[in-house]
Amino acid sequence: MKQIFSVFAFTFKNGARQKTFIITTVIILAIILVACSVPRVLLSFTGGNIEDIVTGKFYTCYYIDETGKLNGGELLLADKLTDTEFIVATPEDKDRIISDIASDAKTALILIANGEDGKPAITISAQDFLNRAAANSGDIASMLSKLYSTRVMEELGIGAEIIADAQRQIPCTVNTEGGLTPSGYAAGILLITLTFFAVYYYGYGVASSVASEKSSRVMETLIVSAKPSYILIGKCLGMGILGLCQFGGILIFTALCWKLLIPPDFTVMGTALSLTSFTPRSVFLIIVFFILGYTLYAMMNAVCGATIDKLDELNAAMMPVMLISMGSFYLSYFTAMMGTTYDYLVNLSMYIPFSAPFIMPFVLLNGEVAGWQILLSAGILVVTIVIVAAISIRIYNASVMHYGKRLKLTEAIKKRKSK
Amino acid sequence: MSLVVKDLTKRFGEKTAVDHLGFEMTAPGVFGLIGTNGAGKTTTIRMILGIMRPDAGSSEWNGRAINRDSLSFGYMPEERGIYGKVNVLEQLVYFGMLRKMSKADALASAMKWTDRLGVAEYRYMKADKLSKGNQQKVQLAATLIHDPQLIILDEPFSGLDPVNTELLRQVIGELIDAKKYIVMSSHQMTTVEEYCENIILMHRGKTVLDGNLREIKAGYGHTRLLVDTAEDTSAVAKRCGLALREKRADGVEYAVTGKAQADKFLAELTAEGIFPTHYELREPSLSEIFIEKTEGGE
Repeated sequence: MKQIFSVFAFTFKNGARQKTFIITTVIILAIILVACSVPRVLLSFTGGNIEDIVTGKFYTCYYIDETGKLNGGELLLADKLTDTEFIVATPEDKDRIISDIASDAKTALILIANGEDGKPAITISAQDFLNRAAANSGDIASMLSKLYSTRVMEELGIGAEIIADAQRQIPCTVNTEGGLTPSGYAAGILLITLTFFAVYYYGYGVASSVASEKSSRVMETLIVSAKPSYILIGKCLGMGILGLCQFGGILIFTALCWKLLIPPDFTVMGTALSLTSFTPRSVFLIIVFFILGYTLYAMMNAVCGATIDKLDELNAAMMPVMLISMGSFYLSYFTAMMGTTYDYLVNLSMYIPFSAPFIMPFVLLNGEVAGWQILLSAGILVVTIVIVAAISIRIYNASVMHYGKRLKLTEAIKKRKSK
Repeated sequence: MSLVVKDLTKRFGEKTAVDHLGFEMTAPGVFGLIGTNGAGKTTTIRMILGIMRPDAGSSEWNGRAINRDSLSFGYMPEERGIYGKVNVLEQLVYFGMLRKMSKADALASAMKWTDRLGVAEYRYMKADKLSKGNQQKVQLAATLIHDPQLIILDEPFSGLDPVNTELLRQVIGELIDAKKYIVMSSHQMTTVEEYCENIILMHRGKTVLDGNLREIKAGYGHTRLLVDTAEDTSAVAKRCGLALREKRADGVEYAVTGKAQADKFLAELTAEGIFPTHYELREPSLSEIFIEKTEGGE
């Protein structure tokens, strides 16, 4: 136990002093600081009015009505697409505008001409489908159709009240009974990504540390002092706690920046940013699954580091673990992107031990997940860790003192355990 | 206390790296494992220390199998390995603590050994800033930090300059005085002859010679005669039946059958008025025995 602690303390201390660790931490904190400062910086440019940010005109859309039946339609559209400036143009301008559109992704043209049936037909021209007008073609058609029907009814002498009633938008309210919220959804996906990068980064740290000790022959000095299994456990613990401290520090820094820099009434696309999904229980369980996930991948990565002699072989050695982690990440990521609609995908991700550490933060923040489900997921993960650890220690024992031709996994497993 | 190695055998595929090797060390001192590169010395050491499992045989210390827990041993591997990016004192303390020392004891011992080995001024420097020789001394400090009973030194003199070689000689002398059991592998015969009472000569995994060094050399007898004269001695040597071994800067060396033949040669020389400025009748050196044995095995 004392030896495990010695390896742990040495690994932790040296890991924390490494330039790559310090630089990475500083860069991440700087990015968070800058990201959280963006609203304040924007406010300083707009005289302190959040609305100005939202109502800025980022797009230009020309409006040509060759029929004369939908004049004034640009005003209706301007109410809906608030970030777009609508400019009324004449049919003579059409060719020039279309020519401009070819070189300007933010410009579009709405042309209303008579169709084959003599009725108005709308043509929207834009550089690509991502242009605001092109992307909202359905809304534009709906609003202009409404305007056209109003005009037709007016010509038929129908009273304003009846027209207004006929055109009345029927109120529609969306009530959600599940736990999926926009903030929880975004935070969950962010956590899946962060967990993956953290597991990869710290796992890589363990692998490169083992590989470096082996290639520099320090391993031979270590191995006569302590059992390989103690070295492996101490090293994984050291890197893991270091990672947890960095991860925790980043979360605390983010919370502070959020509290101090993000304006309380700030919204993104009309949605208020909120951290209500983060309850003490969910935070605790997220940390537990992070630790379990890290342990699982660190054990496998340590073995990858032990099977090679030279550091430049590390990436190739880590490829199998990388494929497992990438596959598990994408399974979790795409499952999360689809929300909690597909139960079987969520369950699959939760109970596959390699993807559970990635999907569980999302599930915990976005839904009613039963206690037994969490326990089952964690239990499968723990059992897998025990099995993987046993195999890893065996392979590690066989690999750390093997030099020369790279040891195949099957050979390493077959090799008898050293004393 | 005793170190008993019995029938150690290790095979790597078709190749037998160590073939039924055995020896005993029943008193403190230095035991020499001698052999060419690839003779199986390092593999033997790894099996003795229990970090590599032998295919057959055993190694015991006081009747108990050797492992990290049963014996406090110190091991300096042939390929030196220390942390380049960690300062010297810190890693020595770490190695000491891995040997179950308290931090305070490890620190005190690290201070003592860095002083003794002349690397005190580098204690707070990163190891990769040190010269190769100084890194080697740090490695030796890591080997001795926990005051081990059994010390295994794998090619300890390789890469050392004359000053550091002398320092290491002194340290080994002190360890012998302190009644330590030292197993030293080397292909530097002068060093082995200086310290080792008993040796094993290995060649391609096999033991080609083993036993007490003095007895081995005595068994060969006084068969080397070095003579330095101003005159040419070849005609007298031929007359006395001496075979020329080599012409050296400090004289001519002949192979003789024993003292009687050497005496006869000396008498003939003086009778002809040739008086040697150097006349030495000696046993073959270990190096010569080594070459004879290994070349004979080719």
